[in-house]
Amino acid sequence: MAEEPVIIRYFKGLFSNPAESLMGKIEGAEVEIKGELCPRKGNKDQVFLYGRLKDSRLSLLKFMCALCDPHMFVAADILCRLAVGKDRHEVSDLGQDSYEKLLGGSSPEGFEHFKRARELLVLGMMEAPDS
Amino acid sequence: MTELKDYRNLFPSLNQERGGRSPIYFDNACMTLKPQPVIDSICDYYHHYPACGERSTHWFAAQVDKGVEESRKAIRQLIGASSVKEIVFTKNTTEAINLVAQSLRWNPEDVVLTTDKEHNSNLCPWQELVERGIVSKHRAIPVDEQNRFHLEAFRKVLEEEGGKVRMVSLCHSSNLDGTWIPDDVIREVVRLTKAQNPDAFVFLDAAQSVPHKLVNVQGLGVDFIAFSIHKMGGPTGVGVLYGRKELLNDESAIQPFIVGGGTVEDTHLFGHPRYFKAPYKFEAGLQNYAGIIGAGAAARFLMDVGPERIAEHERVLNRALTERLQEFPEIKILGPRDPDERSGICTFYLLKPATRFSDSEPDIDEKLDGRANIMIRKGTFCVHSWYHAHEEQFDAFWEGFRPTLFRASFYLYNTLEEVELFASTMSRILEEIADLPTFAGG
Repeated sequence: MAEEPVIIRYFKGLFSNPAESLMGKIEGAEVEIKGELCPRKGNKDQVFLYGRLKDSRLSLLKFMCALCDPHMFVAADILCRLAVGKDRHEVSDLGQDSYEKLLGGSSPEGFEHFKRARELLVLGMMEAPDS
Repeated sequence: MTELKDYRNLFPSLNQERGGRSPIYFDNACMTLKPQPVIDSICDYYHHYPACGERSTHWFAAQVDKGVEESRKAIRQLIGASSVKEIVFTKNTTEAINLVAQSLRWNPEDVVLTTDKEHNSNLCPWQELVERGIVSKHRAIPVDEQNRFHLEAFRKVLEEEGGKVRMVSLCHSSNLDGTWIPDDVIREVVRLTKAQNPDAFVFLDAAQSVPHKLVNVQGLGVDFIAFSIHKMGGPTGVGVLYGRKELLNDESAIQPFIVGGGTVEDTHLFGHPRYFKAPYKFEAGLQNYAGIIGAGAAARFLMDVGPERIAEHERVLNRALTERLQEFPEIKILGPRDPDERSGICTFYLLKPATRFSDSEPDIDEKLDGRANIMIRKGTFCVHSWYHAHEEQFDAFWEGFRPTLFRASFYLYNTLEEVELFASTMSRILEEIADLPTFAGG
């Protein structure tokens, strides 16, 4: 039996524990941005990022996906975990090592999605009133 | 009487194959296929008398005028209007609704009501009136817990507005989930609307009802209905506005907003043009004669088949599909549990956070098409506002879950064999994505 792709393994783990899920909205979030991101489907898939900002640093980040595949879910989830406590310059610097460390393996396709989500978050932070 | 299954042979687009398989067309809520008599009528126009109507008097023009007026008669008969003068040809349902929205003489305090489950075409025209300060307010009546029209909610909103409601515009049958408003409820809506304000109007967006069931405008007592010919076996680019004759000719209530050639008896360089009576004053410019003539052929075809037979056939198909889809715990059907309340539409979603492993892989609709030539629709079906207003219902499965909707919609040529092939193909697709998590609670 073929080994389960790392993305799918992480993705399934996301739905095993509701208490740890970062899916959902943050009402009144300082960062609120929508992007049409998925690289391979004409950028039709939508991702929403919601972030709480304090002194230009993210204190909480959540996401919502519509029409997405597991790669974008995973990218958004990992971004939401890695970006907490960071300002937008530090978010910009989040790289493949950090992404793959949390993912638990390598996925170039997954990292492409992560980069799109990261760019969206930086844009959202730049547009936020507290930035 | 011709059996329903024999009409299928009259649809040439079904008599072809791709990869050794016939097409299975389940996207009828968007657009229906065209029967040979409709195609012939359009070809006949272009082959034999492709001229202008209403203006010239020659041989060809006379044939155009005859064809157009025969179409008007057929449409009148199809919807039970009292006169051909109540039938206005438009480009589509959207244009017909806009025509009324832009042509009525409004008062600034007027209020417009719709449901909260309208197609964008029965939402944006009214919102635009508010935006431009032409009316004071648009309010959306919430549907009930099964997405059906809620008469009590409607009554409550009417009372709250205290006689200011001037327009009630409702989808007769929903393109989202097939729910429809029963005739006795529509009559009650008309009664209540007129009781609170005798100058108020009731409009039905009948785009999903006229093609699929018997609609009698006089029996319903509504002021306006609109529908599109491309959803009833006819050509694209033609719609119909029905308006009560005395209303369409009441200049204190309604005036055409697109004017010019074809709408006037006489003009001078100064002064107001003298317009024709309805319907012509609402049909500005050179018309889509081929389309209108095709519309008549479509109406005659529909009456030959029998709208009630179509409605019953679609119910049979929807019951069969509902029964099969309910076998899959990953599938949730939108709207009422009882398929008889969803006419010929079955919209569903997967209780999964994703419908494929990667966005480089085809989605469900693309797999159905690619493997079995099954054509369905994916998306929000121009009912974005309903989706946004009700999206939190999906949080019950998982916070933040916003599913992709898939819609199968039937017409007279679909068969139980096609439904079975759809279900078995879906079954195989679901097996392939069984490894993706499934939310509980379906």
